Amino acid sequence: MASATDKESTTDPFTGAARAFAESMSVWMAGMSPAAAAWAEEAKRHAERMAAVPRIVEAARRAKKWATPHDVIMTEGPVRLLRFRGEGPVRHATPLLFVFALVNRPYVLDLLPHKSVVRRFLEAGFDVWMIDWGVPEPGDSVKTLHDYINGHMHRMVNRVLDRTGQPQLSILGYCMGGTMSAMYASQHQALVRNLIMLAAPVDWSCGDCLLKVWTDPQVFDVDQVVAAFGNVPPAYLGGSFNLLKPIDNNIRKWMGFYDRMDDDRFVEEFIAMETWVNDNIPISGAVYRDFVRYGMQRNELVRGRFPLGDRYVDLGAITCPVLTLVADSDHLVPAEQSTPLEKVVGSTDTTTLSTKAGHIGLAVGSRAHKELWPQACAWLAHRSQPAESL
Amino acid sequence: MSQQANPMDAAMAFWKEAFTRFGSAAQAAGAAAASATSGGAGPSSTPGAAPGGTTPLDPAAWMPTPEMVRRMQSAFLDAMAAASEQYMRSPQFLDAMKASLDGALRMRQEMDALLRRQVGEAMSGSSAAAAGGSGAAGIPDPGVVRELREMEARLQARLDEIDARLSTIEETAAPSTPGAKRTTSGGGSGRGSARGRNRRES
Repeated sequence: MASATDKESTTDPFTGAARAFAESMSVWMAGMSPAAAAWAEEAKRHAERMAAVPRIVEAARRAKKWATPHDVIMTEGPVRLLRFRGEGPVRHATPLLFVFALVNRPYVLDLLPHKSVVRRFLEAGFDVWMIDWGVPEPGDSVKTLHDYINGHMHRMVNRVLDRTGQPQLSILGYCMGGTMSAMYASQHQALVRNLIMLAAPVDWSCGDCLLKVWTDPQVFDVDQVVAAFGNVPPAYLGGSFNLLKPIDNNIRKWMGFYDRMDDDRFVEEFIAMETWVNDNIPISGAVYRDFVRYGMQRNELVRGRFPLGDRYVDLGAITCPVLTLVADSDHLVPAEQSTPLEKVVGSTDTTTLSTKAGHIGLAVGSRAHKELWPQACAWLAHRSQPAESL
Repeated sequence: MSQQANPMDAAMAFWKEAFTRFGSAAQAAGAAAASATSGGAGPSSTPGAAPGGTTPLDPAAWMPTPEMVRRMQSAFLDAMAAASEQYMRSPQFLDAMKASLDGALRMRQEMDALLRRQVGEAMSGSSAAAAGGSGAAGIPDPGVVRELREMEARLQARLDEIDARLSTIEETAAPSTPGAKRTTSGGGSGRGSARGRNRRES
């Protein structure tokens, strides 16, 4: 009781007034009809939400971009190789490298301690690394997928192997990063022990999504966009993603926020998510052109006709175990665009896991963290080199 | 989803859809409210109402609850989301998107051209000096000349590298597949345009 009084005495006037209003509403509601009482309850909730505003501002000030401490092991221009510091012992010698898409920041995989895919793998005893592609500079607009995959990525894979003394690593690629990881594995199979594809498109002929409609060559000239912009600007990409679900992204989201703005945990998650959603980066024009043209418009990857450097990507050359993770409500990469991978790879060990989530929900959704990631960790643990055998 | 060719048809389809959802939501919320109250005749009942029903003329008896409003609001947003998804797949939207993108890109290119012209004019003194002509001081600047030569060499080397890579791709592709198909669908045109763009940049 004493502590409650102390707490009240330190409350600022705004919060105190809002609480007093809410309490008076409770007294007033006692003799009302059910409908009137329901509206009065609603008014009380409004007051409670208003009382939460100072806490929201404070939470926004505290917002951070990474939840887990890490070291920068290597840099190449804007590209960085990160190694995460876990609290427990490493139980699997095979390192795990996260490869994110080039269109957003990778810290969505490490957003908050309880919503961090990185932490789930650290807790499961993995040595976790990540490539942060950084923000491309204007001169990077001519950098191709070949430069990223067989250049930066290959050098960073070698650095991981050098530092850990392991002959192979596991790769987890998210979205476009997954597609890039599959391309890498197809050309450097000897270095890849396991491949995890998280909502990664490989067959753009399947599924029904707006991006497919909008990038139809009849209405979208990718050369024109790249010629005008060089690097494709973040506002253009972010605007397109926002427009995929205009009502959800611009109305429902804020209504949902208002509804739960007095729930501190929800607010913390909402702010972290908003910070990430609005932290867009440009993408190299040459990469964008190759990805749109050979992937989304011509669907060359599953046909073995996607050019990468001097060769075509042959997904059949992937012989390591492959885990495909998909979301059943993914509006960016429908599950049907990811699952054909198991039919085209040369591997005999393929697994697909699906969860009830959206594209980003795979990384930050409560259900994914409760159901999907423990299964993925177990799958990988079973196929990694145990640390004891070193 | 079907695509509405006429904007009026699309608007009417949205209107009907919205009202159908709106009505269903109101009915469901009303039924839920009625079963939750003792009267069971409407969305809410007043404390003074007779057992088993409410006074039909009492406005409080028909006052919508916040839950009912929320459900109707949600139904309306569902209808809007469905209509917007349908619209964004329609030829009208795709044409508008293409026109707007063309306009934005044209403006961007014009701005770039303007800026290039202005920068070119601003630097004309230096260019003249670099060429050994009539610079402001009338003296050629060896530093500028050297930098230009180096830049030219770097660009030339990059172009040569791209040309070599393209040739390798074409050679690799030719024996495995019919050449004509490779040229039209395998990305030959894309590489060609990339080469053209690089040359423009140089």
